[in-house]
Amino acid sequence: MLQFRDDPTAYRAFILEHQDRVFNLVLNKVQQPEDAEEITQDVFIDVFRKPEAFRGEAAVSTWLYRIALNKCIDHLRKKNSRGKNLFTRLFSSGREKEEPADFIHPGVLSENREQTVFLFKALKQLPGKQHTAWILSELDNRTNREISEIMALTVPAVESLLFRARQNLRKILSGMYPGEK
Amino acid sequence: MNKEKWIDNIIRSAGAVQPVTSNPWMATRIEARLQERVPASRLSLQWLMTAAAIMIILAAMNIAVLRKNIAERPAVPSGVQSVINEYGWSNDDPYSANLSKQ
Repeated sequence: MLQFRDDPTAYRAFILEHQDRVFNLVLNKVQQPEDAEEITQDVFIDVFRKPEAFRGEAAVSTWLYRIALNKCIDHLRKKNSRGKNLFTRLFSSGREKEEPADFIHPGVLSENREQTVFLFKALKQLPGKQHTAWILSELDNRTNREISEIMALTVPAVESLLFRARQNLRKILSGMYPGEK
Repeated sequence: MNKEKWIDNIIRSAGAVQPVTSNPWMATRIEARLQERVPASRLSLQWLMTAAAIMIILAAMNIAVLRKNIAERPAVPSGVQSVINEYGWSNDDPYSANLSKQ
């Protein structure tokens, strides 16, 4: 049972132990360092406020990943719906409609930057679950069993998601090939 | 470089994405946020705009109904107006007023 209210030192140790992994997952999902930091903070605030939500059925890291992914999904949904709202469209200055800048992952060396920009741009176009499964598998090096626990799916369902994600990624990248323009 | 090779290279570049270190002050920031009092939920701009739009629509409907009623009202004088007309009180000339009725 997690209980940090009376033990600030344990809470700080818990944050320091998990913050990098949670931050990296969120960063790969939302592709925006400032938003990723905010979401990571929200995850640990939730853990502090509702520790009873952890029932010990899975590893703490799995539970943290689930919270983080749910927060990412909420964040991306809000971000996407911002431009579609009638009132926002009526009263916005028009700046919101600008195309977001390419995501340059801070953990990529300069010689690979151009390729990873294409990769993250293509990943953004994958359906939500395929995107998550691919990130967990390829960027976070999680096994299919771990992914199934994090995403609350069966292992065959994860395998199917990953298969479709790889297929769709190739299809999306095929449309981005600069040699055809 | 052909297309398939280019796609393979892009996908392989995932291996070059190294995990990054998060903000070393994150724990302090989280603790600071926990110390803050939770602000009372503010009304979002979206809801404010919706309420304003509904009020404008209601006002416009009211005005439209009122105007329609005025236009459709028959030209029958009201009770007071008919008495004024009958006694000729609407006339400014005191000598021509129909005083015989009084």
